[in-house]
Formats: sequence, structure tokens, C-alpha cells
Amino acid sequence: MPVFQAYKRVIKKCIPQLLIYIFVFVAFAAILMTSGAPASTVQFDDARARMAYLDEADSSILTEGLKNYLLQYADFVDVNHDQASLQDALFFEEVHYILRIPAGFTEDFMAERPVEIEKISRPGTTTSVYLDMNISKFLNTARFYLANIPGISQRELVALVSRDLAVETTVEVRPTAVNADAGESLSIFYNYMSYVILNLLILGVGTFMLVFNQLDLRRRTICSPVPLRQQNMQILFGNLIYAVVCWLIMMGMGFVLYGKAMPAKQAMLVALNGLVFTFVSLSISFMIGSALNSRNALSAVTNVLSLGMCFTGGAFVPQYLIGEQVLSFSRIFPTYWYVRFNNEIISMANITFDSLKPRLGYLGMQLGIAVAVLAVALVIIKQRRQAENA
Amino acid sequence: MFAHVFKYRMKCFLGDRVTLFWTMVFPILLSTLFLMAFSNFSKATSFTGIKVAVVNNDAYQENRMFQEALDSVTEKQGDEEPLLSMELVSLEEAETLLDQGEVHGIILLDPDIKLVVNQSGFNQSIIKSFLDQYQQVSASYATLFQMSPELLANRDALKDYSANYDFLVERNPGKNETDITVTYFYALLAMTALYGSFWGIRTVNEVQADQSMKGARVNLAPVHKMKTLLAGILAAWIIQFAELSILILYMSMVLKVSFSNQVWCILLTGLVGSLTGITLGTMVGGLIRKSDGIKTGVLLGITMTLSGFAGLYFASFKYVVTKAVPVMAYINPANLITDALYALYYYDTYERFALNIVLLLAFAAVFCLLTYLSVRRNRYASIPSIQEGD
Repeated sequence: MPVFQAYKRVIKKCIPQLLIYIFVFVAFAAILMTSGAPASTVQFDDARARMAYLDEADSSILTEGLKNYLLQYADFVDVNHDQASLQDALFFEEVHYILRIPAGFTEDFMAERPVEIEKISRPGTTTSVYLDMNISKFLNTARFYLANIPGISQRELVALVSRDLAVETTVEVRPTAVNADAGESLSIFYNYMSYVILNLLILGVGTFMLVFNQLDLRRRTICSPVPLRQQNMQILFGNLIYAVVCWLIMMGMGFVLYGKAMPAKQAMLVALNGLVFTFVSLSISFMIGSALNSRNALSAVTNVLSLGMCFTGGAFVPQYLIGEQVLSFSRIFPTYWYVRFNNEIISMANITFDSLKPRLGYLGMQLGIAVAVLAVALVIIKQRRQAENA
Repeated sequence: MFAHVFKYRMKCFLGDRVTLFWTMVFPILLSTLFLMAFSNFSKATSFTGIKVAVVNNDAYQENRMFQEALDSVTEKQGDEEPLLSMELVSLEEAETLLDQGEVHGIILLDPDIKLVVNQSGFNQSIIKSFLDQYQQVSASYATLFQMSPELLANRDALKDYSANYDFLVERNPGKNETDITVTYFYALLAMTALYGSFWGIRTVNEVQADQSMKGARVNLAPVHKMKTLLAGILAAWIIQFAELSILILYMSMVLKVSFSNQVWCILLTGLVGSLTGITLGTMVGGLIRKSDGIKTGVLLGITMTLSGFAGLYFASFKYVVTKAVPVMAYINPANLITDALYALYYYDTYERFALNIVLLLAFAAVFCLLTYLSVRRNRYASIPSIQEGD
């Protein structure tokens, strides 16, 4: 199989370039694994916002009480108290909320004079609403006692407030198949994978086709004793083998890293989705390879196309962060369907055939795109042949 | 003579479509993709009424107080989003809504108040905080009446609990809106500025006789090598600055990315950043005496890593890196460019901006010096490394 052998040699030469993508992906996955410890699924924990707590009043019993109470809702982050450090910390989301208790606060509060606490946050965010609510709760309760029990001491006040605020609602947590945090990193991992698969295939298949489509080389192979049909079969064989190997490497990585986190049914469906996406990528690579004839153009088109499809389809940034209009546009890309399938399958509590049925359509969309792209590729090939013959 | 060489350098560069693509078209495309990817960012992170399902059973119907409390948080008050948006449904319906992710939690009176969720999170915790508060207020009244029973008899003396007192005052964190997504665009500008190094490589390759055919030819001419080199750098600088300005213009006019309004300072950042990028390229081109492909590969590696540390892939990475290794804030040119733009956008003062610009100039000076040392006084007895078909 001389054509197939040539295919292997071309791919071998590409390996260093291909490895860059795989290494970056491994590094990315490693970072992803270390960040975010999985939360427990059966027990409810109050969410904690990251908060910088600045007490200029030199901690009184009252403010210490507030601080202790807030421990339930916030993780205190140590940030330098200068303006620039606080600004930076808030901008880059190291803290969600900065609370500054002014000097003289306790005195004014105990005397029931108007008081103000300064807060700095990104206005209108969920974390900001959450902390506002709980801080106000503490102070309002304190104020209630203060107004009704004249002469109450700080210590008594804090004791009463803390006792009241210890009353908690019973929370029942319904289990889901994949715990939400693990589910999120699973989705991120498999969605990002689409970028890697796409690049591996375009680079490998595209390079091979560039080499084989050089005019002189093509003329030479056409007049060789290997029939054209067989040549094409060998190319097809090479493409399929290459695609499946890429898919196996990716799935192997997924299995090693996340094999334990995912139930078997989900794992199989995600793998199937990966295989379908690999075939779409193959047909896209085939089209690019047949349309282009320079390496510079190949790297430009590879980057633009893969980044374009992955950004708009939600492979890098979760789909909920992407606007409606962009998403409805990106439905023409396979990445959109690939990502959507992953997200929905991974977050599904239990998979039945009924709940799966509408999602199978996403795979169908990907295959449809693959066929359409392949058709375009064949037209391009035909036109190029005719142009060459003319 | 300088003018003559300069003119032809300009002509050559403007005809270099590959480098023009990577230094201008590609960043424009990428910035557009960034915009698409974050098109829903502010909406997704800002607070919207949390969806809850309230089970409509007998216990709920009988509890007038709770209904009132619910009303008070579900009704829109002024411009503010209501805290909760609720649906009154049967238990089965509520469970389906929760399973499908339509609501964040179910409030069930059984007859005690209970919250049913399927994961922990800020939205769920806000519902819980509301329910807690409802019960905590009752607890406060009970405590108070126990402590001073006379208040129970004399209701007029009682000062009611009020949740309306606003203790918190919002302060603005920075000059402009706290929006982490601008970092991606600033880091992209930094990357583009450093892509100027591709012009740098070309410039230096074409004045060295052992690096390209053109270099060999240029060295034969009776023009001082440094003159040719400077003419090349100047031409590259002008082109790169123009490209960067177009990109900035495109980002602010078309994509509506927020910049500070100090136009001259932004242009100065672009001017200095371009110079640093180009001289980085001439330095690498001068120090590494290998093929063009290897030089480009090394530079791509450097620029993509440095831009990554400046927040191109994850905006908060810029912050994390400089916090962990403070010196990275000063020795990474990409970070200096990003940070200059950020300081202009977010800070009231100019010190940090000025520091960044001075450091960038220092980098450019060092790169220039190293370029000079690597290029000067090379004489060639024979240059076997140059082959035909360069």
C-alpha cells in the first residue's frame, strides 16, 4: 500500500506540531483538575463569597460579632488595604465584596445614630445581593433589640442576635448523577477537546493533502501502476485510521482523568459524541485540504476556522455566557451541537430513552454538516481537476 | 540613502501578505470572536430574580404571614430586580421544574418551612437566607417577649422589626466599570504588539548575509549595515503602529470595548508596545542563527506564553501570576502593555501607567542593544547556509 505508507510518513513529520496541541491540552486539563475540589452532594452548604473585611473601628464586640456571623457566608481574603490592591483584587475577582467599617461605627450604632458601612462590589451581581442581604439581617436584628431593650450591652446584644440568626431552614438536597462541580469541569474538558480534535485533524489531513496535491506529484502518482481507485481507497483508509487514532488518544485521556467521575452511560454517550465530531472534523479537514495549496494559507485557515467555531460554539466559554444571536448563528457549526450534547448529557440526572431522544438530533445535525461539507469538498476537487486538465 | 532604503523596506513589508495577516487581520478576527464569546457575560453574572417553585398545599394556603413575606420579595420595587420570582404549583410540578433546571429550588411547607434543591450555590443560598430570615424574625420576637413580657401587653411601646434600614453605601471601586472582560481585549492588544516581532525577524534576516539571499545581496551594497537595519526597524515600527491603531479603533468603535478616554496615552502605549515587539523580533532573529521556521516557532512560543501570563486565555491569570510572583508584573512585556491599558482604564492616577511605559522602553532599549551586538561586524568568508530558492 504505497499511498498509505506515504500517508504515514507525512503524519510522522507532523508529529512535533501535533504534540504541541496535545501537550497544551494536557496542561490545561491538569490545571482544571487541581482547581475546584468537588463539593459534597448530599449536604447543603451555604455558598461563600470572597470578601475583604476592613475594620477601621478597631474591632469592638459588635463588629467582632458581625465578623463571626459573616464567616458562614463569606471567606475572608487577606488583601493589602491600599487603594490599588483593593481595586485590583475586585477587578480580577479575587474578592467579590469589600466591606469597610468606618471609625466610630460601634459608638454611633449603639447610640442609635444613623450609621453607614461602606461596601465596594461589582454592582448588581448575585454575590453582592447575597452578602448585602445577610449583613443587613444582622444589623437589623441588632437594631430591633437595641430599640426595644434600652441599655443593652454589646455583649448581650451580640449573644441575642447570634442566637436568633442560628435558626436555619431545613434543606433537602436531591442527588444528581454527576455532582454539579465535577460536571462543570467535565463539560469544560470535553468541550475544549473539540478544539484539539479539530486542529489535530486539519493539521494532519490538511498537510497530507497539500503534499499529495502538488501538481507534479499528482501527475506522477496518476501514471503509477496503482489504479486511481485504489489510491483513493488507500487515502480514505489513511484518513479514517488517523481520525480514529486521534479520537482514541483523546478518549484515553478523558478516561484516565475523569474515568471515575462519570457514570458509564454518560461516558459512552460522550465518547460517541466525540467520534461523531471527529468525523465532522475529518470532512472539514478534507475540504480545507482540497481547497488550499500553501502551508501559510493552511495555518491561517486552520486558526481562523477552529478558533471561530470553538469560540462561537461554546467550546472555550460556556454557552450561557454567549449571546442569543451569536448562538443562533453558531448552529451552523458542528461545535455548537457537540458542546450542547455534552452539556446536556453530563448534567442529566438519569438518562432514559425518552430523555435521550431529542438529544440524538444533535448528533444528526453534526453528521448532516459533515455530509454537506463533504459535498462541497467533492465539488472543489472536481473543479480543480477540470481546471488542471483545461 | 537612508530614505531610499526606508522607502523600499516599506514597499517590501506592505507586500508581505502573510505577516500582514498575522499582525492585523488575525487579531481583528480574534477580537471579534472574543466579543461574541462574552456577548452575554454581564447579563449572566448580574443578578436576576431567582426562580423558585412554591408548593401550593393546605399549609401554604393557611399561612397568611408567609404569603405576605413572599409577596414582599417577589414584587418589583422601583428599578430593583425582585429577589425571587416564584411559581405556585403542585408538588409534582415543582419536582419536574427542579429536575429540568427550570427553578433553583422548591419551597415546601410541611408544615415547617423546607427548601428542596439539587445543588449548593449562590442562588440556592439566597433562597435559604430569605427563608432563614423569615424564621429568625419570629425567633427575635419570641425572645424579646420572653425577656420583657410587658411589651406583649403594651404593643404601642414595641418598636417593630424593620428590614428596610439601609446600612450599606455603595462606593465605586474604580474610574470605570469593573469589567474583567476588557482584560482579554487588552491582552490581545499586547499579543498583537508582540506579533510585531515577526516584522523584526524579517528585518534582521534581510540584513544578514548568512540568513537570506536578500541579506547577502544587501550586504554587498555600499551602505552601512546599521543604516539598513534602522531603516527596516523604522518601517516595521510605522506599519506595526498603524496596524495596532486600526485594531484599537476597531475594538472601541465597532466592538464597543471600553477604553479609558485618554486617547493619547493609549496611542503612546501602542507606539511603545510596537517598538518593544519589533525589537524583540530583531533580537531573537539576531541571536538565533537557525532557519526562519525555528525563529518564528521560538517567537510564537514566547509571545503566546507571555500573553497568556498577561491574561489572554484567562483574564484572572494575570492577577494570579503577578500576585504569586510579583516580579512577573515587571519583566513580562505583554503584561506591561496590558497593565498600562488597565491602569488607564481603572485608576485615577498615572503612576502605574507611567511605570509600565518606562519599563517597556527599557525592554526596547535592551532588545536593541542585544540586536546590535549580535548583528554588528559580521564578515563572511563563505556562506554555505544560504541555498538557492530562499
